[in-house]
Amino acid sequence: MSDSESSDDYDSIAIDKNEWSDLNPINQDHETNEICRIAYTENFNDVFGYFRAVLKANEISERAFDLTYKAVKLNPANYTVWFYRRILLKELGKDLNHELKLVTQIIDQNPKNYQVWQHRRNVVELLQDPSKELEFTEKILQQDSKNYHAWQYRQWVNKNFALWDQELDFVSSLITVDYKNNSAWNHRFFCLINTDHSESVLNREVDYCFEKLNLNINNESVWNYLRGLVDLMVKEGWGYPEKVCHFCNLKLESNKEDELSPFLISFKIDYNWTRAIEKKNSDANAVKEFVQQSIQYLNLLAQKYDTIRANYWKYLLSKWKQEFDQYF
Amino acid sequence: MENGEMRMHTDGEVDVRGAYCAISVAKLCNLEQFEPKLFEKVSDWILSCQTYEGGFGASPFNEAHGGYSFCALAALKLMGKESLCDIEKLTYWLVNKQMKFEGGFQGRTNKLVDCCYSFWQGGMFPIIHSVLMSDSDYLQENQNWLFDSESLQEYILICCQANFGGIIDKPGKNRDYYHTCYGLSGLSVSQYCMDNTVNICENDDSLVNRTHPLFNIGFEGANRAINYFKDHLIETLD
Repeated sequence: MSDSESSDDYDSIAIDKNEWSDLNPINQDHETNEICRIAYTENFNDVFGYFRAVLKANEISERAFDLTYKAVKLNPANYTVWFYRRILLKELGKDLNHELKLVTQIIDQNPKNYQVWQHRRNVVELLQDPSKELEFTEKILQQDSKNYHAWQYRQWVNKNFALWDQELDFVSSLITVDYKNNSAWNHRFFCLINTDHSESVLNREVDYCFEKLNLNINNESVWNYLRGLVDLMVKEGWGYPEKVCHFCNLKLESNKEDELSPFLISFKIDYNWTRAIEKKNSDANAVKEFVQQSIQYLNLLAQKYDTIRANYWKYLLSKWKQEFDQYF
Repeated sequence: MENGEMRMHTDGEVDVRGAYCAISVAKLCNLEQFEPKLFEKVSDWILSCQTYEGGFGASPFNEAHGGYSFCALAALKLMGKESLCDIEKLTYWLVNKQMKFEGGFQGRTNKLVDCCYSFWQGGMFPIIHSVLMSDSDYLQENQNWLFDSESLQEYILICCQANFGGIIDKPGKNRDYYHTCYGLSGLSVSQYCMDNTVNICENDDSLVNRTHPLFNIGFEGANRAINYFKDHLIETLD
């Protein structure tokens, strides 16, 4: 909770009806048999009653602008209020830097609200000034390193203003703190795609994955990222990186129980499938080996290492049987 | 929007929920009778939301997430474009979202279980089954979804019921209508197989009605609505 919240208690958001004597508030439509009537406070009803009147009258005024402030403090998810406030910001020629300060405060108090992040986006777009944005999202991510809105917003800032320089370092520092932070790994991939993803860079990224897997072989984030890298390398025409295959085989051969991560095993099975399809009509011996190993691993996964996904592993077994049935 | 994006409201946020809401309403109410090209570019945009992990994010390059993945897949299915995404990759990501200890689903890789994902994640399995079975005798014969239905039903019913009724996110959380809705919806998906046979994993009293996996309203009701609007073409205003 931030300090400013104590100064925004209901009294300061209260409406002064004398100021509004010229307008009739418009009540919300009420069904006669509501399933669940919300117990609004009197103040809430006043604020929104006058807001609906202002909206209907299309009133462009300072008092309308102040009213939208009260309304968003009471319900920051009311997108109609935000929409109307943006019209007022423009028509009244309001100071957008001041608005940015305000939305900073509101996001801080409501970091999982869609409308406030969208409002920030709209303001920053008008200002065309991203200078505070990376710092701001970093601050929110310090409170919650996986806040979806924060990451989504940061990606927009990166792309819209071509601000890439800090990103790799930023993401690496988050991964160092928590190597299971999947949002960070996702952001890393995003940065890669939008900047340098040459062969040497991707090779470096593969090594980065090995480093993290050596800390914990059972980290799904890394395995997914590694799959992404490999797919990219194959798509770019550089072929399957042999060192990845080598790494997997090493880990599989170590045969230590705690090294046999289901992600490692399924990664190998996936590799085997690609190879087996490739060599289907040219190298029966190689295919036989891939088939036998994969069947063995799929049974191990279904029966021992990853039983909750047994239905899936059995489905994959049926796929292998269907495709390579001459090897059974 | 020009590139197929859909906003949630005027100058509101763009994300795949908007596409799903628009498409599901349009399909239920047969709105395309007015504008057959209404969703021409939307499927391409949705496809661009599939990430390297296999799931879909809110917008392109956003992290793969259960809620957005459901919206993406259901929207694609409603447009008949579900095979255009990488279904294999999606399936791999999805099955790994079931927590082996808790039995429920997580929304994103390496995050915590949450009962609402019983529907967002669980609800994708019927759609995926319908795609994969065209190439698979095994899935045509096998009526069970590709996840552990028993474990999910146990998580919902044993771990996620509040003391005085209602369903919760996870033990320790308070009940609310959102988790109650999606816990029950996920329960329904688990309990009804492809061929409409039931798979009750707790006592028989726990059987709920069948939900429509694309609209998440009652199965019969959804079909009635679709047929109604097909039969009653709305007269145009001019």
